[in-house]
Amino acid sequence: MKLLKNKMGPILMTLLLAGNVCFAQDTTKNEKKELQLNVAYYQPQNNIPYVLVTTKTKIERKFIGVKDLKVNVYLNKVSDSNLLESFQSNITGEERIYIPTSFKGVWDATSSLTFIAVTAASKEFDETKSEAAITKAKIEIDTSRTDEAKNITVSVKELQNGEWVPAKGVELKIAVKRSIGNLPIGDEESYTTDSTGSVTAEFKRDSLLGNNKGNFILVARTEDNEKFGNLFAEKNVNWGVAPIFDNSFNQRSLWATRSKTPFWLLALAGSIIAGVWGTIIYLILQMIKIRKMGRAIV
Amino acid sequence: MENQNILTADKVIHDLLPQKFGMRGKIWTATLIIICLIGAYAYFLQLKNGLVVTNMGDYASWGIYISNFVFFVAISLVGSLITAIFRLSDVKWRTPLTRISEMIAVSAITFASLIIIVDMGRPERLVFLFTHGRLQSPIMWDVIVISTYFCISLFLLYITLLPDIRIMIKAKEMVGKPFAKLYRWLGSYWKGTEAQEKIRNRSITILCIIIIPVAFCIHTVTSWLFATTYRPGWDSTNFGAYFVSGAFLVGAGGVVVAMYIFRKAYKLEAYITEMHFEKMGRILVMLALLYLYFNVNEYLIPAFKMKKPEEAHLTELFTGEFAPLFWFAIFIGMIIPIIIILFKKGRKPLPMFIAGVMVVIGAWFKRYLIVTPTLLHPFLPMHDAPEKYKHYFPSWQEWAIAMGSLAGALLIITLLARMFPVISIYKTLTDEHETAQK
Repeated sequence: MKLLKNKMGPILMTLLLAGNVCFAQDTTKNEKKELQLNVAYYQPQNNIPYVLVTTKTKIERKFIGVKDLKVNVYLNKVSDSNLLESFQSNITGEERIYIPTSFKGVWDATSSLTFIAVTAASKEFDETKSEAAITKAKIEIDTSRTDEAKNITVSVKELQNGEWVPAKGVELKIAVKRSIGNLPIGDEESYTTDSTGSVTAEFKRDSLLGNNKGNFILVARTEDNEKFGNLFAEKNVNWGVAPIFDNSFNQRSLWATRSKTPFWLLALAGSIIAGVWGTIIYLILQMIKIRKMGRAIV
Repeated sequence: MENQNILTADKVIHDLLPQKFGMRGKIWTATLIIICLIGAYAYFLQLKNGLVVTNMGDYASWGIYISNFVFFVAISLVGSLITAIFRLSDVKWRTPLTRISEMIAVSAITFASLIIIVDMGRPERLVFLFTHGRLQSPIMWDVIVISTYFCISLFLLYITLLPDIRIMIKAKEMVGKPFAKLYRWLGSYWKGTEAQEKIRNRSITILCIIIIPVAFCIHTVTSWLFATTYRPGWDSTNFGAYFVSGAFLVGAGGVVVAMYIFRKAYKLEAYITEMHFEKMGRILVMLALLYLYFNVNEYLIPAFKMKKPEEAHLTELFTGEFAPLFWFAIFIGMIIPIIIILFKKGRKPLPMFIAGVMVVIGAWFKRYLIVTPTLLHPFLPMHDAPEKYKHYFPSWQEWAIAMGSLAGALLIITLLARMFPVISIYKTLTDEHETAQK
């Protein structure tokens, strides 16, 4: 007990200090995280444009989707009348928003638009605002084929004063759509449109595997272009090689089903089994013979 | 055969006829039956609850059962070694050993067949192997060759027994009643006429000729169950010869142990003489050296190259978790018996018995080491596997079943020895007659 009294002072000090450390850790925990709110505009060829809003935050060096966050998306300015959509973010932290038909008048009246996303302050994040200003544009893809080469022509046009005019100096990528990503059509990383708003690239990937008929899809796209956002166009072409499937599984092989046993194995195993069991049967007959001989002797 | 020159026919028959068990025999048999019953109860639990009662899992999917299977298959080779090879090469001193080796072969192959069924989670599906079996699978080859070897071994035991059965029928007062009906059912037709004897001799010769390739097949095919699987420790072209040489060794070791026990229990010193131990000692040391040679091939060459996938497996064997067992199997199963038997004094009955026991025990653990460590070292890394998947130690049910099967094999030998002469009376008399004529 005396020992405990002597030690009481240091123990209490340790506990108090430990408590301070714990509180300090709690304070750190209460610091708000940084929300990565992003707005991106997408214009597919001959299709309805949409806006992709992402709500993410960095946790342990990885961007993780933030769910249950209320996000309002506006067109041109933050006001109730300009509210395109209000949504609660899901677990992926991504939401696709299509322009409602009620905004057709605003949409048609101007060639430049601004999309604004706003989140209210929460326990974890401060109020955040993000916007994307774009000029309306369209992208087209065309192909031509000669004996020597296969060419892809991509043209980009922007809307100026109600007219579509060529957009020059637009950087874009041309690729083949594959299962897990896009494969560039040649050695070039990207292409840039000329004064006519178009660019022609040669397709250099011969013997590329296509679908059953040798078809695959060409893709031309701008990626997060500052002026036009994400434009993309696709075209189905018959430039691929149709795969020839290996049908050896249905042939006689060591890995086939029992009905597809190789003939050589059947012959080899069969002759060994017949040889050994033929001998055993012969010996059984000999035993029967011995038995009969014995029974004949009274 | 130094003592056999003075043996009379009556004495031979008296000495070699099956004898009733004494107290020690009864205790021995009762012990074996109890172990078998415990094994049967454990198997009942396995049937009732499934293979979950074992400690086998995703990785160690073959455990002590398959080790036991390989052991039984190996020891069964003795039938072809002693009976067939010795007969075809006209080894004169083989007579007292042939019946013992045939009994061991029959009992071992019986339990090799049974233990493989025990390893199946759904034994009732065994029939599918015959109705839906793929001839491309080494498992199918094993099923075919084991059933063939079983039939040939049984046939060989039976056909060599025929003249002795006649003797036992005649000497029913000495043999007693218990098996009289069985003897009559088995061999009352055997009269020993010249024509019958001619057919029997020819049949035995044919059996001896076919049992050798079949015996080689059974061991080679069993080794192929492993070698056709691409895994560290099994991926070897040497495996067939390695298994056959190991089987010859354990078979010979088993015969030496049985020779000593039967000699003591039935007082057969006049028949199983020191000369037989001397000869078997020479054979045993040669087989042990041969198997040691194959072991050097199996381990030294991969260890010299130390390919990455082999490294973990070999390190576990040489210095890791399995090292005590590995060096135990090498020293007890091969090196120490070789040292004992190399010397003339070591080829006396008792040292030979000790060496034989060491060979058999070492061989059992060697089979365990062939099966288990490789399964625990697959080529693909064991990511996200629970810790228990990375180790294997049999559950009590597995031990009980494995020990039950070993006891069962010994029980068959014991019962065969109770019913039939462990040394061929007829052949001993014939040998005596030939010696007397000379």
